[in-house]
Amino acid sequence: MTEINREIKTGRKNSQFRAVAKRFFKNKAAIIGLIMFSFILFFVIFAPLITPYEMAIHQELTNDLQPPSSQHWFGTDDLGRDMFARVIHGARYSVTIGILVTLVAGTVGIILGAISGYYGGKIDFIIMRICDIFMSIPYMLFCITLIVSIGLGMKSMVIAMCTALSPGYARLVRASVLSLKGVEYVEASTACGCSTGRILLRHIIPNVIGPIIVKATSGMASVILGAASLSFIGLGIQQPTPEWGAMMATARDGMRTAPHLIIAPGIFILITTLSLNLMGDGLRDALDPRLKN
Amino acid sequence: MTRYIIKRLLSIIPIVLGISIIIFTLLSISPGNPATLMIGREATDEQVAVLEAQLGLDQPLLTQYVNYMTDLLRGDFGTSWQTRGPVIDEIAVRFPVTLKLSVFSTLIVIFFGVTVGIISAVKQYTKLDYVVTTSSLVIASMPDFWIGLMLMLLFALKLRWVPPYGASDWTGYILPVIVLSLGIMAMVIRVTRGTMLEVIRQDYIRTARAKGADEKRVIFKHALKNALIPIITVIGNDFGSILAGAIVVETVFSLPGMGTLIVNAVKIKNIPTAMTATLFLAILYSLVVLILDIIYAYIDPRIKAEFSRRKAR
Repeated sequence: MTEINREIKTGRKNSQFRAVAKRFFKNKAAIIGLIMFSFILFFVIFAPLITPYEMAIHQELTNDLQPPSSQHWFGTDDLGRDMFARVIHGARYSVTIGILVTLVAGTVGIILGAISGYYGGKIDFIIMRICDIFMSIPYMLFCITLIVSIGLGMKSMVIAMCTALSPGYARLVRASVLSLKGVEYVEASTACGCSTGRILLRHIIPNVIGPIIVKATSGMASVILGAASLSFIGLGIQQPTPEWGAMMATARDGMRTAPHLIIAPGIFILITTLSLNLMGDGLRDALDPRLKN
Repeated sequence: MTRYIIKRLLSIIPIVLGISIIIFTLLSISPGNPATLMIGREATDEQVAVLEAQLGLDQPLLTQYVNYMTDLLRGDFGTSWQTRGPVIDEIAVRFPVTLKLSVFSTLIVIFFGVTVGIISAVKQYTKLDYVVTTSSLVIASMPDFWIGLMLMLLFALKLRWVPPYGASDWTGYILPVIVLSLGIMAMVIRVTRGTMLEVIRQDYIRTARAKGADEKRVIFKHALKNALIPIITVIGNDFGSILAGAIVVETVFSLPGMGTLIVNAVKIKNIPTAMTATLFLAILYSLVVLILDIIYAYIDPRIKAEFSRRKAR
């Protein structure tokens, strides 16, 4: 952290970024993660060009539960829908939810945490106690209750996960802001008459963003896992939308005869979350080289 | 020490109150009239009105909440709107299943997670270390219900070693416990390895080695003792993940536990059951965190010292 502070103070912001990027790209595991994530992103972006969305919802009842073949790479499901099309279109849902929830929860967390840490006193007390309450309800339980109260579906699931996850970011940001509050350059900017907003946005948050990015990267993996679990127990994205968790919930009954319906979406979830975890670890080591002995 | 424990116990009260308000509000504003849901579609308006009055649903929300909470304090945990029996009876049947799942998983996690983490740290950069770190990362990236389905496919449907559903005897618990512990164990291994590596590099470890202490003593007496705090924190947080994971795992293996109880109650808007069961788990979780805080104070002389200094003042 001191290294980061020194470099920023001397105005060599770019070299800091370059140093982190250099360390990141030297890390083999992180590169593997990046490649795997690009593979998934490729499907997210080009899914409609590879196979149209209609293929993913088109039913062909005479052609149900087919094992993988040259025509249907991942076989067909109980309604004769092409599994390959469903799996690659499913990537769009999972990755979008992952990015959206992480962005919203992260932003809300940064705002709350920064306010809480910078102002202290009563505001800090209130925000932190509310966070404590939210964090003492097990995550899954909270999401289930919230989803049911505002109605099943993707929108509710996103709202529930954002609400459940922002306190975690708020706590992390608050702790980092507290550690920076007394630092000389913050004092200097206060002395120069900078507004609170400017101090927070230009001086404090850029210096605490490292751990947040690390948390967000691996946090996105757990968002994707959580969304799949919620859809699997029937509270998240509903059929016939091709979402990985929901697909496995339907495939569960015919598991003995058609295991490919469960294996294919599972492997795609694994690739996505593993890639994010690998990149998260890589970023952590790149931002704080001391950890990487 | 007693004062610290009492203070921490009291701090649970506002949290429990907050949780109860949040859950009560969420469940009450959810769409659908519970009275209509209970009688069925053919319900007449009159029947619905009678039942609403009976359940106290015609009262304002705040009154409903206050009534619920005062009943709770009197030891009345409410009446399930589905079975018409006391909620506490339902919990008495369901909780042992979840408790067995969580306790066995936690024990496995603590035992294997910490041991493997230490071995991996001590043998850093060996083949064994690579295998452990890679496999724990891969396992942590798998959805737990998917691991469950895959194991069920292999051991219950193909090999027929264990039953695929239900908990009629102990064999029904084998797969759920494995699934529940695997994901969390991966996390504990990563944290144990990380903290052990950090501690092993400290000066006092070098001193211990320099004075000729044998390696076993260095690792267990000097290093592990100092690495314990973050490890215990992770295990404590993981108890929350185990409770959450239990919901999913119970669904996969159709186990009659608290998770399936809550999910079903929430789906049909059976507020008393959902509310009491959720509160029950939330309080349980807060108590576990509290016990861990007390354990910290015991194992970490720094916390203890700070605390006795405060008392002396």
